[in-house]
Amino acid sequence: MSKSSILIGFSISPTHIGAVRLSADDYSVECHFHKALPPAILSHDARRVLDVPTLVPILRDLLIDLGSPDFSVPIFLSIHTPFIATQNRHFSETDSLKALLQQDVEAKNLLKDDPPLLQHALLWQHGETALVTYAVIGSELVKDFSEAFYQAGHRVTAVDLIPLSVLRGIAASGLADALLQKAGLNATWGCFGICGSQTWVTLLQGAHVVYMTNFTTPADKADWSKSILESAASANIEKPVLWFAWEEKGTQHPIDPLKLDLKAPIRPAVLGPFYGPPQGQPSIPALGAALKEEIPFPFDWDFLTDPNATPLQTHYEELPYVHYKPVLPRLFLIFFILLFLVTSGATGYFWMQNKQVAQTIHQQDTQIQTLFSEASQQNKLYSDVFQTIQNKTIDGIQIEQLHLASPDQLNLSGKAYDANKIQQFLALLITPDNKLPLKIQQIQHGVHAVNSTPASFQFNFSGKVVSADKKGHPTS
Amino acid sequence: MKTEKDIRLTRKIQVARRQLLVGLLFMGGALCMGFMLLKPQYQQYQSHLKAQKNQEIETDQPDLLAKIPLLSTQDPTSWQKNVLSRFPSNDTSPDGVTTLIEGNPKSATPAANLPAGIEKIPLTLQATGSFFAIEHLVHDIPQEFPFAVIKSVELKNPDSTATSSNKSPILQGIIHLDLYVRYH
Repeated sequence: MSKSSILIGFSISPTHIGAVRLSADDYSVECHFHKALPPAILSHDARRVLDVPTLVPILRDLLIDLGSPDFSVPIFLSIHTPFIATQNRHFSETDSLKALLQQDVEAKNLLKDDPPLLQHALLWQHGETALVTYAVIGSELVKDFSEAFYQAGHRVTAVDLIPLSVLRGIAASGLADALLQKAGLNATWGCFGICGSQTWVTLLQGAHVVYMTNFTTPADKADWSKSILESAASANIEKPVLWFAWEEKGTQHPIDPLKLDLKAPIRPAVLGPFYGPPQGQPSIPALGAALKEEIPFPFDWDFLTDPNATPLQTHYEELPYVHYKPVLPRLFLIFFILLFLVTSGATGYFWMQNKQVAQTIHQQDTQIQTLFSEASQQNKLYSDVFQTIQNKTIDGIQIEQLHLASPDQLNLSGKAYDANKIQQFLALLITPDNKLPLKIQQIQHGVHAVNSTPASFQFNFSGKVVSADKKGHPTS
Repeated sequence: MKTEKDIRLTRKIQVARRQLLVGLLFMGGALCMGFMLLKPQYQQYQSHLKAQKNQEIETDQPDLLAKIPLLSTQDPTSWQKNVLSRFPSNDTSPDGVTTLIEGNPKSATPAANLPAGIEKIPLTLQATGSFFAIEHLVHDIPQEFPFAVIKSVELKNPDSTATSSNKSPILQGIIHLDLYVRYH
């Protein structure tokens, strides 16, 4: 495989499909975009309409647009993975893409050699694929970056690899080192592009160089870029910032971070902005020119074309990909749900039991209350009967027998030497105003007529129990 | 230089440790919440079980329940202390009424329509004295002994010549009562 001084990067995201050509000969960087993007690609529905058969011809056209005479150059193809079909079909789609792309390129004899197509997929905590990168070569760097983030505990949900592929080429070419040296930073290498993720702060912390661009951004990215810079400054992220700015027709004007009204001072060294032409195919000749003038070219392309060579010696350890299966959280979730069910069930059980107990207690209280109430009422009737008889007893009346079998059954017998006294006694007992607290049904026996002996009497009262007030009046 | 195996293991341990910590926090929270929810219900139910085990009568009216004498099957003197002593004796009764109580705590039977644990003992109270004295006794029973229910009262005059100090005839009264008691 011959050496090459050309590096080509493809980038596919929901908003664009672009290709970048880096040349180590003249330090030029040339960007091409697919000219006729399907409208849906620019919408949020893109991930549903952009499929592999659509994508492959676009990439092929871009390759031709780049005009590279030798397509054996290293090609970086970065794909914003959620963009490919659906999440569930991700791997099959990317596999298909790989096969189709290779087949298409080979069929058109665009790729003379057969450089290794490498695939790195990172499956993150929640099962989504953070990024998948196909690259002819150097994809280990992508892996390194990604692994570094992973090692740092970041959970990346979306990473736009456009600048990564581009700038990784820069890094691989040694330009990044030169840029860092120019920035006065003693870093070995590394660039990273970030776009479109709310987790960018953590990404910034893991990045070596912050790459920012309004490259293909919609209009609101200006504020987004501004907020990133402010947050990066607030978070004391001391990273060099490569600032690329393009002027594109129909988009906002380039943003110069140094001219932004930032709430926080920018601590990172900001290189750029590097402006492209105001219209037409964007390129960054200013960058290339600047680099050509000021930065030596310490890069050896050999490793790019040697599949057996180590791409770059980085200070990252080669970390294996760990497919984390969230077993523990699922177990805890199951446990939590079970605990909740058990707790709810037990609470419901005790609540039901206690409700029954409360009903039992209420019933018992009612029974006890009834006992005391009835006892009090009945005892009072006995007392009232006795008290009435006591009060109505007149002189000369001798009670010999009194049987109060129940409050409504009174047998009263006695004697008197004067029969009239008996009549008076009876009259007192049954006088409506002073009668016994009994509803007298009948008097079974009256006064026995006697002659010389004391007259005896026997009264039988029976009737429904009624209570009487202090004056003897029935109250019910 | 770490090997791939070491790194893989280290990373798994890191992830597992973090998940374990988070899980333990969740578990702790869940246990605390469950404990807070269950505790009052559980305590109330436990007190109910304890009352059942001790054959206690659960009530929201302890003052009312306390009026029912509590007898102990283990203490033979409880009958004397909690029942007999509460009836007027010869020394303390007014008008010189003499009382004789006949009743046996062993004859207690479960009372109908009352909580389990409350039993009924038939009791006979014989009193000798004037009509006024006996009437006073009958009058006092419902006030002093709300747990006793008068079932019948019978007065007799076996000796018409006997009179009290105020020359009232001496009567003999027999009062049948139902006495309600509790056992433990």
